[in-house]
Amino acid sequence: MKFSFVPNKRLYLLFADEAGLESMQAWRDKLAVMGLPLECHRGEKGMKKWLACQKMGSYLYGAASGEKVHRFIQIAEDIGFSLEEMQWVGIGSGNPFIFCSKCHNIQPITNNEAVICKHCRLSLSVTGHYSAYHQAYLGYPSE
Amino acid sequence: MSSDLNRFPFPLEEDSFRYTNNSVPLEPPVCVDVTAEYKEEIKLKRLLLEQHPERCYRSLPHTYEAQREVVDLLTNELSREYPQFFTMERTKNKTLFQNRLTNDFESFNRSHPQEPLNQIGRHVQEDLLLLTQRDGELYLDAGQLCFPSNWSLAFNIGMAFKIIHDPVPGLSRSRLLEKIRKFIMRIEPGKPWTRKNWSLTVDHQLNTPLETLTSWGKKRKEITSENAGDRIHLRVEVQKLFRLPATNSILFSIHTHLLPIRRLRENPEWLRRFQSVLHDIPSNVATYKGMGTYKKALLQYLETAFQA
Repeated sequence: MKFSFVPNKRLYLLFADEAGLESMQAWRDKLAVMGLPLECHRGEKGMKKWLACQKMGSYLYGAASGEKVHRFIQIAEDIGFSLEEMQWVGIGSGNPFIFCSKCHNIQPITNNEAVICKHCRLSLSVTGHYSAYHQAYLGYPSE
Repeated sequence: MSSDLNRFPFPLEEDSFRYTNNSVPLEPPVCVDVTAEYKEEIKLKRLLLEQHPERCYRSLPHTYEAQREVVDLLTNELSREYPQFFTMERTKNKTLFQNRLTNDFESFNRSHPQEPLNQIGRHVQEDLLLLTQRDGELYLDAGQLCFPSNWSLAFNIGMAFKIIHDPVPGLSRSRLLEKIRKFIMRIEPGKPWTRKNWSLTVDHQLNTPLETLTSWGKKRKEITSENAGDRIHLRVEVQKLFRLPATNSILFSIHTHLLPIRRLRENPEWLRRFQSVLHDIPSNVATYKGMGTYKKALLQYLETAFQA
């Protein structure tokens, strides 16, 4: 999964946790070459305050470990960023995620067939229904 | 016909099955309907909200003002249409609301611990969904949903209208869905619309969320031609669409009605039409609507019902 460039933004905000630093470094270099206004923040500490003081028209790129990326999206949403105003990449597992239809647990998909939910132990089939908000595919009961 | 059958919103207008945008202007333009089942359904709704808040209520922060518009709309309506049950007094900072059917007094104000949509939803039988319109798209950004037909508000929150319909066979990539989306985006304030949607469900059960499919879905296998008439219910959703003028959001309300199939015998035209549509329905749609397992048994039951 890679970022795609969204032009004509007032300011580009770049966020990364430890796992996402390398990816974000490469993306920052690309944007810097284009002479775009950038602001960076590293790590969860101070993230909310940093996002909360940004102005309308800012665009957020985030790179974080796969397990944490969903939580970071929700933090940004709570502050007022819509899904059209940000892009995220999950680092680590390299796998897409599945949303358990019974208990709402989100976990990486380890193969393309049935997945056992780590939280409620329900056997799930991976559907093609994808949520950009959860960054996960719907897992449907396979029993 | 008995009075409860007279007020049942029978949904089938043709003898064959096809997807249509069967929306019509809502006359009178009233969102909520208080029926004889009010107390029983409100009790169930509040129990579900207490026991399963994570699946029955979701919202994104930017919907707060639209939620307040929903409170204004519904408290106005309830006190105007049912003054014997509901009264309302509005001041600058709050709305005081009395529900005589539940013996509740509510104060709708910004410091209330419950969000406005979650608060007002406890006084109406309808499920309430909020669609936000931005960047040429509709998004499901808030909802109080206690009586879903096999879908998950928790999964669909924040989702675009077109993506929500991805699982619907024959509709998801059709031109019709795009027409419906554009139709909703053109709805004007003060000119609400309504439509009926139908499916079948086993037993008189309003709450059939995706989260508990493994529990209620099992009952489908228990259906035989002998018990189909009593156990299978026609499930009709009366859906209404209101444009909220201040925030330009859409209030999408769903009032769900259930009727055991055996009751169709009291209206031979309904029975005939239902049987005809059931014969015509494509197998992938039958599976999506949950009736694939027992369609044959139900058709056998209907043959018998016709001969009786």
